[in-house]
Amino acid sequence: MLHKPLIAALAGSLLAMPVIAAAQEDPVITYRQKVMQSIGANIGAVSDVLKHSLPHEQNIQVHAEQINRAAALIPSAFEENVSEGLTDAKPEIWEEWQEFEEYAADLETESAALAEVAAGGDTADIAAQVKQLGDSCKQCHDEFRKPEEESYKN
Amino acid sequence: MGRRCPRLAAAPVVLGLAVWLAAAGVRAAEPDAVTRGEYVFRAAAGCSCHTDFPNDGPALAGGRAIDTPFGTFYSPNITPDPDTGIGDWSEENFVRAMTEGVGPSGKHYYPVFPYTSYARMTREDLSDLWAYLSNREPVPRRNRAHDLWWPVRWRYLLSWWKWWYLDDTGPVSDPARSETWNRGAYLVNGPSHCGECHTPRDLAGGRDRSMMLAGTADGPEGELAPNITPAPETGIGKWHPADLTWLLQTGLLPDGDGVQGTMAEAIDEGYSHLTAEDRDAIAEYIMSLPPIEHDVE
Repeated sequence: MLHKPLIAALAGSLLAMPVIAAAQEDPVITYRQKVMQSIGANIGAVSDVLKHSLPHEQNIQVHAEQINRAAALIPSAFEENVSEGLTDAKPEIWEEWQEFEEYAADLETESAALAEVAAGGDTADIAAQVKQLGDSCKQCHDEFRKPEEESYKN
Repeated sequence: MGRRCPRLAAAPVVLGLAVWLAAAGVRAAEPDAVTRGEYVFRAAAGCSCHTDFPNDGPALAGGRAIDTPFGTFYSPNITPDPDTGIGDWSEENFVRAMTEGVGPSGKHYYPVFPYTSYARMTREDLSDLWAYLSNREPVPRRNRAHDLWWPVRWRYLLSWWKWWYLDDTGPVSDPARSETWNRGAYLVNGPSHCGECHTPRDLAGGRDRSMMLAGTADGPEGELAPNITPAPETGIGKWHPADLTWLLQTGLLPDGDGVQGTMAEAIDEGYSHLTAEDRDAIAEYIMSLPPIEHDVE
């Protein structure tokens, strides 16, 4: 006969693991992470088209518009002050909220500019504007996102 | 540090304009030494350790703190100011500093200054770089003494260090490989000095030759320098060469996120200004290297 309490304990510990992990997830954090990931995914998609010369250049404008619309969601997504837990958001965001909003607005400007340049269709100009867009991401990340060395993912 | 970023964002535009104007001016004639030297300067990541970007310091005037496991180094002023910079140096002084790690007074430099890579540069590139640096704006700014752990303070030990770690064979090429591959090898191992940050160091601060470009968690300024050998699990073995070229051009990683810290500076100040051919050459060379699985994340 199998040892029932032992099986129960094993099953219990197996079940408990994801429960513990799930308990640590904070929907305020996971939501805003998804908003940011959608921006990263669109930049990655634009990058793929350009660096591999994929026949999707006409899609770049759409990707730029998606970045633009997601950028407009950043302030509301980060409105609630949560800097503890599974996040790389620094508490400075809420101490220097106005600056944070300005960076988000800058991303809107740069992504709108990308959409415009993409409509023109010159590959070198588009690549240069993608770099500008990346620099816009970076200026905010430098100040308000924990560096890789301090990331919660480590 | 907060406000440096908008200025950095404008820098590529200004630089682009300057490069365009310079290119337009010399199109009819051969580029002069200063123009060629600017290109070498870009290949050398814009010598960005010599600018205190974190504190908005003046260009190339040094004073930047570089934290290492051996203590904190402060980069020196390399503007042509005669009193506080290198304005009173000769070209020979400069070439010797770059390839032998020795100052005009005979003082040994610490290998935080990557002469172990610059020793592989051609004399022509070194001369051109000297012409470019001599043509910069002089900035009077006194050098700050390094703040090092006590055994490291004995500079004379560096002559022994060099005997073991400094390879003085100069530029090398492999005739069995393509011209592009050789150009990539020259850039990576010479001016672009990739292996200085991306290679783990031993207890004496020398690069572990069996782990070239395999990454380290103890990079300069406490940064993590990833494994950039084509190892599939812990390196960039799953990348397409174009991913690397694009990263050097834009600072963007395959997932759409951007690189951080000193690598972002090296791209902004340096590698993004290279020709597409040179970035391709770097990618071809790096992707051809033996993969070394080494997890530093």
